[in-house]
Amino acid sequence: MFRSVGGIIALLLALPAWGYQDKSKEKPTTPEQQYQALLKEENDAMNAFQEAYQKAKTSKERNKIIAEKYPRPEKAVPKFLELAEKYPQSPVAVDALTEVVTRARQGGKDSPRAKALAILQRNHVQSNKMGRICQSLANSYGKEETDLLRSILAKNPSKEVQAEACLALGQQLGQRAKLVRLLKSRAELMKQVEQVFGKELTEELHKADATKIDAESAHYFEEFAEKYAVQMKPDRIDQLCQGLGRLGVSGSEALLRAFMGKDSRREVQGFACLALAKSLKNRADDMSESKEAEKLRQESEQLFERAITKYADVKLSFGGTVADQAKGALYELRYLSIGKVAPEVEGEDADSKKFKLSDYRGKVVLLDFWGNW
Amino acid sequence: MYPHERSLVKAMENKPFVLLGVNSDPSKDALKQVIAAEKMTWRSWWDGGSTQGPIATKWNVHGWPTLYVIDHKGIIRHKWIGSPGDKVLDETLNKLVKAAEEDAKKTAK
Repeated sequence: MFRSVGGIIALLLALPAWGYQDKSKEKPTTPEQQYQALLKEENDAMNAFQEAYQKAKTSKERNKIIAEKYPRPEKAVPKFLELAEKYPQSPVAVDALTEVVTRARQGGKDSPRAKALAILQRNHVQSNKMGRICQSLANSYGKEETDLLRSILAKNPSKEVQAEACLALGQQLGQRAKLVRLLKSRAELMKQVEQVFGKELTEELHKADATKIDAESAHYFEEFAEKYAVQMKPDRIDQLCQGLGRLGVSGSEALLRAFMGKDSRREVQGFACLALAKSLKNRADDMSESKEAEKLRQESEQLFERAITKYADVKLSFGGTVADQAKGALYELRYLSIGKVAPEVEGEDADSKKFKLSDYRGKVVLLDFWGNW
Repeated sequence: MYPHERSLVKAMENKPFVLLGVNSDPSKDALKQVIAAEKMTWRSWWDGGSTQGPIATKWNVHGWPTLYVIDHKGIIRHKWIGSPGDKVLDETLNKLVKAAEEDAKKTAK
């Protein structure tokens, strides 16, 4: 379960930037200890916030808790950056900078994020610790991130790290192309995107050529399928497939097809079959209604059916089995796609009064799945 | 989202439009409290107390909010995971409400 991206962006925007002013009492000694202490401080603050947030009952209480207790990344980021700048060559710097990149928003050339990327590019592209940051960079949109990933892929001696960098390049470029398309088709989003990513990156994205970026993305997915797919462990492939299913970019589908057709591991075939079905469905949902969208939905439907007949019992790391997810999605595809007659909704309201969706035929209905929990 | 929904429902009074919720709060009492506190004038189904309630499960909802727009003939016309923004939402609904009004006029003739 996840909150919408829009909601998270709104949440981030609502929080004013805060400087770091805490003068800590006794500092732990080694860089590693300092890093662990920082990490613990942040985790404790996040746990305290989440606990308080879950106890809140009204949106007013929740807003108050966000204002008072939410551990603002703007507060934590400078601490991790400071640590890395103090020991720029040490392996701990990689961990600290990974935290910076994971937490810090996009910014201009002097932003903590840009500084962190620069130190990593300068000192650490060969570090065997770079696998984790590749996964974080996969979920970004900037050119600096692409450049860092390219350097890691070219220079890192570890095959495992190379695999992560190659994969992250496919994912990062794929979602970059997706955002470029979104900006082209919905110009009114420019302002929102600018607030999150800054002017520089937004303008660059606005000018970029989505087709070209898509092709680059596809290239890295192919390279990954050829060179690295076999060595990857099933649980990482499971996680990857879940991500690719949600991402829904065409370039990744060749990789999913390769997992499905060429990998001898049955569970890997199952993860990929489910993910490919989801990816096709998501791409169809993003398109305006057309023959092409219809074709994607047809193939998606066949793949969900195949996932249910051949891989029903394959377990997924986030809970449930392939069949659990495929059945829900198949129902959605068949009965909840745009253009279908809405299925009945029946139940009771808060006063235990029964009512149903078809009572409102003749009216336009906005059906809102909502809640606070 | 609630303030915009409130003004949306107000603006659409007397028009062929209805906002209906499917709520995943843990109890009917919790839902009643929110309805009172947020001055909600629209109805919601209480979906059994979890995000895996019968309605959300049937509709394969995994992100909140998820919005469906259904036209006056009962056809699904739009779906969004997360709000598409007030402007897009209003424009979409206005267009469909207009079509519903025109259809109603035709059948009245």
